[in-house]
Amino acid sequence: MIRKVFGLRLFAVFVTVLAVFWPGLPGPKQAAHADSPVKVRVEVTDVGFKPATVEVEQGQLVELTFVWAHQAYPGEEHIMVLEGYRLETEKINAGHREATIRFIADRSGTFTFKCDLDCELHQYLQNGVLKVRPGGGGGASRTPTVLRVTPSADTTDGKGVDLTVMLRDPSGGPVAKAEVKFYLETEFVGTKGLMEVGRVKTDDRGLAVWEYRPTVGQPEHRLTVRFEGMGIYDESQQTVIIRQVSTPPAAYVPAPVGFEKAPRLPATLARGAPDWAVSAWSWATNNWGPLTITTLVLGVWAAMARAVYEALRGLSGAETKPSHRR
Amino acid sequence: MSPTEHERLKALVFQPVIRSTPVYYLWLAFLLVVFGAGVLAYLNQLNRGLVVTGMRDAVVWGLYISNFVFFSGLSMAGTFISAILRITGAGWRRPLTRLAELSTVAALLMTALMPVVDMGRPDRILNLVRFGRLESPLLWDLMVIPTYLVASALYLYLFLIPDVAVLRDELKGRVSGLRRRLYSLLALGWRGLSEQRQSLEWAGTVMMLVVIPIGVATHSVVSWIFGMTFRVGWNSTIFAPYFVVGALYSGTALLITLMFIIRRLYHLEDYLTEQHFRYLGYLMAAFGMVYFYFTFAEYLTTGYKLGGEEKDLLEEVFFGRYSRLVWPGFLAGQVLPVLLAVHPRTRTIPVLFGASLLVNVGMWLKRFIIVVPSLAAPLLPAYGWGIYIPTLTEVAVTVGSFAGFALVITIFAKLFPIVSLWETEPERELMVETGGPSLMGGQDD
Amino acid sequence: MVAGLAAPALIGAGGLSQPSADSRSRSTRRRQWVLVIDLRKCEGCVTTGKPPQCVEACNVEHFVPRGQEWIRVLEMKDLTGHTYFLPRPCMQCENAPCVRVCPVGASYHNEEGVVLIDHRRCIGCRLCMAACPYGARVFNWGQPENPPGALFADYRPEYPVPHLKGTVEKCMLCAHRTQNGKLPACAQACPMFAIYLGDLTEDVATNGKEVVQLSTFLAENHAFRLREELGTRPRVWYVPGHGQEYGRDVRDTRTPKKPRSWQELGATLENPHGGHQ
Repeated sequence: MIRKVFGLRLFAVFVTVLAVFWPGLPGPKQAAHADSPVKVRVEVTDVGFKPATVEVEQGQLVELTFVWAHQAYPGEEHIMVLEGYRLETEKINAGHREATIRFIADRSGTFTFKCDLDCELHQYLQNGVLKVRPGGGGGASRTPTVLRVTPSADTTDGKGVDLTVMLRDPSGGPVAKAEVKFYLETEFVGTKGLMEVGRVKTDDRGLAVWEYRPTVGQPEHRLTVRFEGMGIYDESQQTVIIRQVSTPPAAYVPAPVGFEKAPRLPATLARGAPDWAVSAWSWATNNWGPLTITTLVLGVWAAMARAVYEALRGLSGAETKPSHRR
Repeated sequence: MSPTEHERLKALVFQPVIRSTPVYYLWLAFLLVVFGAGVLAYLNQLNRGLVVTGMRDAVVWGLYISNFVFFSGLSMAGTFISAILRITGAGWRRPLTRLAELSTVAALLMTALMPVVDMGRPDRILNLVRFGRLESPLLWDLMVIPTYLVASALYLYLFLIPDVAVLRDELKGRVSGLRRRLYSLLALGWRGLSEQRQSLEWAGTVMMLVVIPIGVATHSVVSWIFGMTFRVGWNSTIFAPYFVVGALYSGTALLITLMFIIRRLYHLEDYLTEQHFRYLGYLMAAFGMVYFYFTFAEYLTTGYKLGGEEKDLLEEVFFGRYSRLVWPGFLAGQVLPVLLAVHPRTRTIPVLFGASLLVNVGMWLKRFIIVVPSLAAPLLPAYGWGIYIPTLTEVAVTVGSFAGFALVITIFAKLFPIVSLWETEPERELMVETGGPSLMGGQDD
Repeated sequence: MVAGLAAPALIGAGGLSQPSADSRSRSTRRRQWVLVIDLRKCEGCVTTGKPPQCVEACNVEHFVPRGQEWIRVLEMKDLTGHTYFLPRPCMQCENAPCVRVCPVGASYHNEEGVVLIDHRRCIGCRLCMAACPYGARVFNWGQPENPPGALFADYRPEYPVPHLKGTVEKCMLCAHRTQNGKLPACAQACPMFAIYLGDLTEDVATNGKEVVQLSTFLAENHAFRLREELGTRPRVWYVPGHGQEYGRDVRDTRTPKKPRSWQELGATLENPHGGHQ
């Protein structure tokens, strides 16, 4: 009887404690927006950034908002870029005054933010500074992403294959303006490696299409498609296999040495002409100099032969005509 | 020339053919020794390889190729002048024609010899015939130079035939039987008959016309060994005409030199007169002025722009390590002789002889300056200037080649009259002068 | 076998070598070899304490005659004394002046774009040496020293051992190695992995460590070729740099040591790279 009452009370205490502390208890590992981001507003004024320097701790989730605040320059437009983190905002102007970039400051150091458009006040907007203090307690976690690659075909006969790339976060939201790289597993002269074959940037819908034009001839093209992570987003990748049905065309065919526009054999002749004749004609047009010299030399030999013949004929065929030597 | 004068000429010209003086034997021995030394030097080179020369990976051509170009230059004027003067009917040239033609043949023999001496693998010379590629400038040399040699030899020979016949007929008992048989063979049954004359004149005319383009072709082709490369100083479109004019200049000077020597040796003062020297001197001066013009055009064009490579080459040639060769060569070889040949006070026979020697010394230096500095010049900025110091072997072979040249002339002059008697015959002179250049329909009485 | 060269040489193609085994391993297309030398990585081996390894590897691989260097490490200097190193092999020009002027066709292209020399045919005229705008050719002026046993080796243009007096020599892009799917000796030996072997046909290149897409690598790194205004169409590309990837400064005054010959490195026919490290 007493145990039953004690258990009830314990349960009540437990429920009360839970109810009190529930909001503060750590939940399952979620999107970083559950942590409180560091929100910074930087005004873009007629005389420059206000503030010009921003300081955060390493590992913090940062929301950096640029606010268009011009008075004497109503026509100004800007696109802000953050170097090092390789992030950029949308365009801000009088009609669209705010743009935000969100990222996890995982790298310490000093980074520049500036305007990337050729605006009137361009030179005054080149020296914004973001200082990320090393260490830091925040360990904001990155949002995982899902990379999905869909090839337009499973095989290639040397022609290109379109690869459609979709980069999303777990809630299905697009990851925009993200750079995605394509690598081919290949071996060349005994060295195996992942060769980067292309790059593409996702659009606002997190989509991108890239044409893979194979140059290497191998039976299986294993392409690793990779997003390295950006801002608050974590890396992700996927492998796609495309089978080769026939060898791709050569990426480079050495151009012939010599004139390219030299006259070719007239069409009527060229139609039935064997290969050696076409080559010989091409050789002749490229070697007109040596041919001229050779013709001259042959002509001289012909003339000499004739002269010798004539002289010998005259010398030996002398008839009975009396000598007129005086 | 009157008949008596002609008889006297004949006697003078035949004298060396019949009799040999001790001086002749001494001279012949000297030439043979020098030539032999050259041959020995070459045999040593054949054994040990081109390492015995001063050529190395930077300066890959040196004295041998300079000589090659020099001799090809000498070869031009002989036949060319003989032919041009024949065509224009210039009577004064007649005593010179054989000497001119002979100098061409002798020079061409040495011209053909020099590249062989320069080859790393002369044992494979037949590869040029078996695998020859028409695209290569060297093959053009191989086609053109032997053709020119045969043409000028033929030209020399055709107009020699009547004189050989005279030797055959008139030297019974005065020369050895072997020689008489040689003359009989070479005379090809010449009896002075009109058909024979007509045939010979016709054949001679053909040869005379043929020898001009092939002569121009020879020097153009020699220049293109250099002109077809990208080397600084060689990569110039003017090279072929430049070499042709240089050859005319050089060859005319050689003719003056030889003419002076022959005149002394054969006592031909009455036949090779001041007029001959003066006219040849004018020709030499004319060619010299054109050569100077080409030189000027070449150096002005590169010297004005002074593009990197060209500037370095010009500096080194005119003010650097080659300046000691270039300035004397230019002043003494290109400027002075022209002035001497033109000025009334200086265009005397001895001065013209001296001028002609200067021309060829200058021209030899010029050939050297064409070949070596362009090879020594750095191809990439990080390379330094190459060094070339000719060795004793190269000098011996060079001197030997000059001896060889003299040897050919000497031996010819011993066997055959050095002045064409047939062409200087009074009746024939008349016939030629009234008949004009085309000698077919000859007079027949 | 040698006689048939005249006709193809006239038409500009032709070659005595067999097509490389590697070139047909995956396709029927021909390789078109190139070299890409990344000058950001080349510091003239001054930090290694050894002479340039590319030159020494080449010397032993081919028993390069003493005094010759088929690949040379050049010190390029500007007016103010800033320097960088540039290894210079044969450019293997597509429009090679040396091939064009050879009177006997001893210099020729094989089907993979490598310029080879048939030393059995060469007459030693040296017109090719005069014509080469890069000074990449060297000559056997005397009798070159060959390793013991070389006289009985099977000579072939891809691997010209024994060397013959009075003939011309140069870098062959190690045609005998690329035929067997191996990197050229210089690329293999470079401790900085600065030399890449590439194939234009498949648009790939490797330095033995990584594999890159050749065209992108050249374009993104602003690769240049030497004296290309001459129209020789060289097949050796350079990525500009001064050894900065190994910490070399443009004002560094250290110069490379003199490369040793195969004799000094103790190379033998059986073990060319043996004595050399």
